[in-house]
Amino acid sequence: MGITAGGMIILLALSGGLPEINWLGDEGVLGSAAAAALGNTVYADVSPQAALQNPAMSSRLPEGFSAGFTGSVALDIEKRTRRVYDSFGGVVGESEHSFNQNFHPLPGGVAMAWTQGSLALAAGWRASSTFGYEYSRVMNDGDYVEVAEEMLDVSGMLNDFGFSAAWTQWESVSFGAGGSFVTGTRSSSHRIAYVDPTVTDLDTEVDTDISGIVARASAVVDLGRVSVSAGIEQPVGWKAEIASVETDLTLPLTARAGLRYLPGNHLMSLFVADFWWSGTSSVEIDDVDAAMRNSWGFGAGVENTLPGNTIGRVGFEYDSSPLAGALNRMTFTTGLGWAVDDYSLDAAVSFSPIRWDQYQVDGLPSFTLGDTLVVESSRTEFTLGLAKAF
Amino acid sequence: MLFSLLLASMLAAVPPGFDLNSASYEELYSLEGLTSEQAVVLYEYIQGTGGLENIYEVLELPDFTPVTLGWLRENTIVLPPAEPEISSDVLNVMERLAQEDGPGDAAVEYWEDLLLRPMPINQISWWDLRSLDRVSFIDAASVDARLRSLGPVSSVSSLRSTENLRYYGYRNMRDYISTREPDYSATDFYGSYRFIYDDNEGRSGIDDGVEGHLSELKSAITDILAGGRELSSTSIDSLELITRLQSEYSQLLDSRDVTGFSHRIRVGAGDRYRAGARLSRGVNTIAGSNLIAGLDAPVNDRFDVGKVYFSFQDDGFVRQVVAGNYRLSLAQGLLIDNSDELMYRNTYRTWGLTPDLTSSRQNALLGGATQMEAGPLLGYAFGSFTPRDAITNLDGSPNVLYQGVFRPEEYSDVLDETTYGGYAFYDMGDYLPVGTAIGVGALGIQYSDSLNPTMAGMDIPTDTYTWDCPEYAYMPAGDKMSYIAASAQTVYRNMSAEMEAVRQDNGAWASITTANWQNNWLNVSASYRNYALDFMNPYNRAFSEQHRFDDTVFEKPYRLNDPLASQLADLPVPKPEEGLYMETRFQVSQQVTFTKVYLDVWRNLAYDTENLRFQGEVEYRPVWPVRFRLKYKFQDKINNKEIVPSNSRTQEFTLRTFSLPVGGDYFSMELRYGNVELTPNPLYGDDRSMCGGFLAMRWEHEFSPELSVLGGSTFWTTDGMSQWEFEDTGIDFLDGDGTKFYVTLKNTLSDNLQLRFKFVRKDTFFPHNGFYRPDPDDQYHYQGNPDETVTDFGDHVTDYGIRCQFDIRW
Repeated sequence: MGITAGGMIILLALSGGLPEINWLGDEGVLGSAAAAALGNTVYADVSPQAALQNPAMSSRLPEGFSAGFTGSVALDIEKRTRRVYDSFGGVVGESEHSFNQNFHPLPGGVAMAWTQGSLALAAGWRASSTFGYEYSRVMNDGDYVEVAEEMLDVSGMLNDFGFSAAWTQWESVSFGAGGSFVTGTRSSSHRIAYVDPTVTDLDTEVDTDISGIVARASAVVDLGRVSVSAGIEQPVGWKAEIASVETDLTLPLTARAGLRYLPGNHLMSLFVADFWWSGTSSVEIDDVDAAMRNSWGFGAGVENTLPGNTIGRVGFEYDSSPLAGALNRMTFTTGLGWAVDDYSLDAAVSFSPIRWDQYQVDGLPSFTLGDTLVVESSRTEFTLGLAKAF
Repeated sequence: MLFSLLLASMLAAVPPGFDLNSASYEELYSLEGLTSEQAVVLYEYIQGTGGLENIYEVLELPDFTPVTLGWLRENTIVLPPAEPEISSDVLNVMERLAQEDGPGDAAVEYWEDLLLRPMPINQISWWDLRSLDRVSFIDAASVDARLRSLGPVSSVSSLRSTENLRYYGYRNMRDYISTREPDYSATDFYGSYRFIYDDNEGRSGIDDGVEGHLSELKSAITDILAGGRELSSTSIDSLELITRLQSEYSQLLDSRDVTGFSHRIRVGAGDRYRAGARLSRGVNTIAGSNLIAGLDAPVNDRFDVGKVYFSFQDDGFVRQVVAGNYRLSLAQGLLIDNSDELMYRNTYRTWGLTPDLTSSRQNALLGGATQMEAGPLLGYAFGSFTPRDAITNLDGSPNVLYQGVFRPEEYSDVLDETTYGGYAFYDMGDYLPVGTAIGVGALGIQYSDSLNPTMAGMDIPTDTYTWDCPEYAYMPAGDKMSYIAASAQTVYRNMSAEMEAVRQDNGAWASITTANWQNNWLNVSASYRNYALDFMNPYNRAFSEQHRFDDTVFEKPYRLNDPLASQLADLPVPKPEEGLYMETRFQVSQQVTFTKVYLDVWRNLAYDTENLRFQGEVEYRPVWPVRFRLKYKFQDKINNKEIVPSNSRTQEFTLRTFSLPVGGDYFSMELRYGNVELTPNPLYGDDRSMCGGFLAMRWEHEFSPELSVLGGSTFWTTDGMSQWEFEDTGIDFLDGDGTKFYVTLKNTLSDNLQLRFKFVRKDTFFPHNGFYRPDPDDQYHYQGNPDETVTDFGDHVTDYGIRCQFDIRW
C-alpha cells in the first residue's frame, strides 16, 4: 500500500470519515454556468469551457472567437449525529454530535475558443477538483466538561490546463481530440488541543501534490432537433507525492455521452442530458487494487425562455460514488440566464444533500452493524458565468 | 422603378409557396431578401419556437426591419406550426386524482390511457362508462339510454342535454370519450415510455418506514439476546427465530439507500393490439427476491416488480383478451378486485378488465383474461398462476398471506397461487330500464402449500399481552378457497340500486347494497354492508371503513415474535363489519354547496363494538375565483381491550380557501386542527388527550400551457396526534413539529416529451427532554455505549425528496 493510500486511511480514521475529500476531491465547475443549472450536463454543453471536456463540441460554437468565464462559492453544512437507544434497544432518536458550516469561494474556469469553417480550437484553465473542508468539535467528558478541541482542515485544488481541437468531417458529424495537464495540492491538517497541559496535543499535517495528464476524444452528430455526442477520456501518468515520496495512481478510462433536444415550442425549450461511466474498479495505488467500485452518473435539465426573454433552467444530477453505495449523491440545480447582444450572463444554484452511516463505507471506524455515527451534509453552490462571442 | 425590377428578379429566385417554417437552414440562407446573419437568427428562432405564428413575428428578431418584413411577406408564406396533440391533462390528471378517498393508482393509469386514446362513445355501453372517475351509475346508464334511443352522436357535447345526466357527470366523462370510430384494421404504431425516479434522503418513515422497522427488529433482537423475552417452544425454534430476525435486520439495512424507479413502456397498433411492460423498484424496498422465479440474472436483484401484457381487442363477441398481467374489478368489488390498495369510503370504483402495469405486486394476476359480449350477455373469464408472499411459521410453512413494502426473503414468494373464475351479467336494458342487469360469478383460489395460521407463529409466548385477534383467527387455512357471487343492479330515471353478495366455501357471507338518487344540485346515496367475521376473500376491495387488521395487535410490532409481521395491518381487505353509510352532495345556491356530507355507523363484527364517523364540508363561493371550504370530521371508535373496551373520539376541523387571483395562477391555503380523546389508562397517566394541526399554502403559476411551477409550504405542530395532508400527488404524514416546502415543475416540451420534476425539503423536530429514569437498568444511552446515558437531546430530521417523471411518446 502506498503512502497516499495509507495517509488517506489514517485521515479517514482520524476525521471519522470524509471519503470523497480524501480521494480526488469534489468536482469543480467544468462547463458553463448554464450547464451547471441544467444538472451539470457538461457533455451536452456548448461553451468554450465544455469544449475542453468534450472536444468535438467546440465545432458547435459560433464562428469566430468566443470566451467564457465561471466562478462559484459553496456553503457546506455538516451534521453528525449519534443514535439514542432505550433499554430495550429501540431507537429513541438521533442526538447531534457535531455541527459545522463553512463558506468556500471556488474558482471555476476560463476558456477561449475559435471556430472557422470546419476547424475549431479551444484552450483554457479549469479548477477540475477542489478540496475544501473544515471541522471543529469541542470534546467533553461524561459530565459535559470540556477536555479538548478537535479541528480538521482540508484545502487545495487540482488545476486543469486543457486544449482541444475539432473538425467537421461531414455536415452533421464532427470529431474532436484534446488533453489536459492536471496539477495541484491537497493540504490536510488535523489537530486535537487538550485542555489539560500535561496531555500532548495531536498535530498532523499532510500535503499531497497530485499531477497527471488526461487525453480525450469525442464525436458529435446532429440529427435535426436532436444532437448526440459521445467520447472517452483516459488519465495517464498520475502521481501523488507526499514528503518527496511518489505514488503512482492508475486511473481508469471514462466514457461519456451527451444529448441536446430542441423540441421547438413557444418557450424555445431545450432539453439536455448526459451520462458517464468509469471503470473505477480498476483503480490502483502503486499497483495495489484500491478496492473501489465502477461508477456512473447522469444529469438532465431543461431550459425555457420565459416572458421578458429571461431563460429559466432546472436540472437534476445523480452520481454514484466509486467508494461506497451510501455515498451516491443527487444534486438539484436551477438557474437563470440573460442574453444581451453578444454577451450572455448565467447564474446557477445547486444543492446536494447526502446522508450516510459510517458502517456503510469500508475502512471507517464503526461500532456494530447499523449502529454508528451518522453524517448528514449538504453543499449549496452558487455559480456565475459570463460568455461573449466576438 | 428600379425597386420593382429588383423585386421582380428576387421573386424569380423564390419558389412559389415557400414556407418559412419548414425551410432548411440552407434554403433560408439562399434567400436574397435575408442577410446571412438574419438567416441564422430566423432559422434558430423557428427551430427554437417550433415556428412563426405569423409573418409579423419577425419584427421581434434582432436586425429585422420593416423592409425585410415586406420582402418576406411578398415572397414567402408562413404555414402555422402544428398544435401539440398531447394534452397537458396527462400530467394534471395525477394531481386531480390524488385526493382524499381518491381512486388509487390502478384506476389513474387507466384514465391516463383514455386521455390519449379516448373511448369511442358510439360504440360503448354503460358497462364501459362506469369505469370513469366520478361518473355515477346513473350518469353512465343515462348516456347509454340516450344512445340506444336516439342513435349515435356527432359530438361529445351533444350528450350535455341527456336526460338524468348531471353536468358533474358529463364534465367528468367528456375528456375520456370521443366520437371517433375505432378502426380494427388499422395498424398505426404508437407507444409511450415513462421513467420515474423517486428518492428521499433522510430518515424516511420514522414509524412505518424502514427506520421504524429497523428499530423494532433491533429491539426484539436485543430483548431476546438479553434474556428479556422467553423464546418459542423449543431451542430449535428459538435459534430459528433469532436467525430470521437478524437476517431481516440485515436485509432492511441494505434497503436504506434504495431509491425508487420505474420503467414502463406501452405500445399499440391501431385499435386492436396493445402490449406493455414494467420494471420497477420502490423506495427502500428489499429486492433480490426472485422477480422471475428461478432466473439467475442481475435483473432479479435490481427490480421488485416486473409486469408484462399483450391485449387484443375485437368487435366480435370477444371484446378483449389480455395475456400477462391484468386488473379485474367487477360489480362492487366483493368477489374480485385485484388491486393492492383498499380505498376507504369510496363509492366509485373502476369497473372492468384492463391490462395492469401498476406497482401492485401481491395481488397482481398473471395469466389470461377475456371479456366477451354476445347480445345482452357480458362475461368475464380469467385464470392466473403467480407466486405470493406469506408470513411463515418457524417450521417454514406459510402462516398467512402477507402484503408489505418490506419483503424479506423469508416471506417472499413462499407459495404459488392459482386463481381462476368468471363473472357473467345479463343486461335487461332492452325491456327494463337501461342499466338493469343481473350477474353471477365464481372465484377459485388454490395454493401450492397449505396456509397454517397458528397463533404460536406470531405471539410472544410469555409477554403480558394475551393474544386476542378474531380477525386473525379466521384467516384462510388449507390450500384452497372458493367463492360464488350474485349481483343485481337497476336504474330508474335518476335513481339506482346495486347489490352484490358473495358466499365463501366455509359458509360465510358478505354483501353490500347501494342506492343512489341524483340531480344537478342534490345527490343522496346510501350503502349497507355486512362482511362476516369468517369471510375472508383476498380479492375483496368492497366499500369499507377499515382494513381487516386496523386496531388489532398487528399495529403493535412489539407484541409480535417478528415485528415485520406488523405489516399485515396494511392487508387491503375490509374489516369484518356491518354498517350503514349515507352520503350527500347538495348545491344550495351558486354560492353555497355542501360538497360532501356523510355519516357512517358501523359495527366491528370481531368484537361487536359500535363505531361512528361523520364528516361535513360546506363550500362558500362569494365571487367566482374565490372559494372557502369548512370541513368538520368526527369519529367515535371503540377498541376491544382485555378488561373493558377503550374509546377514542377524534375531531378534525379544516378550513380551506382556493383562489385564482390572476391569469394562470392558483392559490390555496389550508388550516387544520384535530384532537383525539382516549380512555384514560393508569399505566400511561391520566392525560390521554392528543392534538395537532397544520397550516399549508400552495401557489401555482402557469407561465404558459406548456410550463407551470407549483410551490407549497406547510407548518405543523403536534402533541401526540400525527397529521396528514395531500401534496400535489400523494399523501404525507406529519409528526413532531416541523416545516416543509416543495416545488414542482411541469413542462410539456413537445408532443413527444413531457417532464415533471418535484423537490421537497422537510424538517421535523422531536424535542426529547427530561428523560429521568429512576431504574439504572432502564436508561437511555448512546449508540455503541450503554454506559453513556442521555437525559436530554433534540432530534432534528431533515428529509429531501425528489420525484422526476419523463414521458416519451411516439
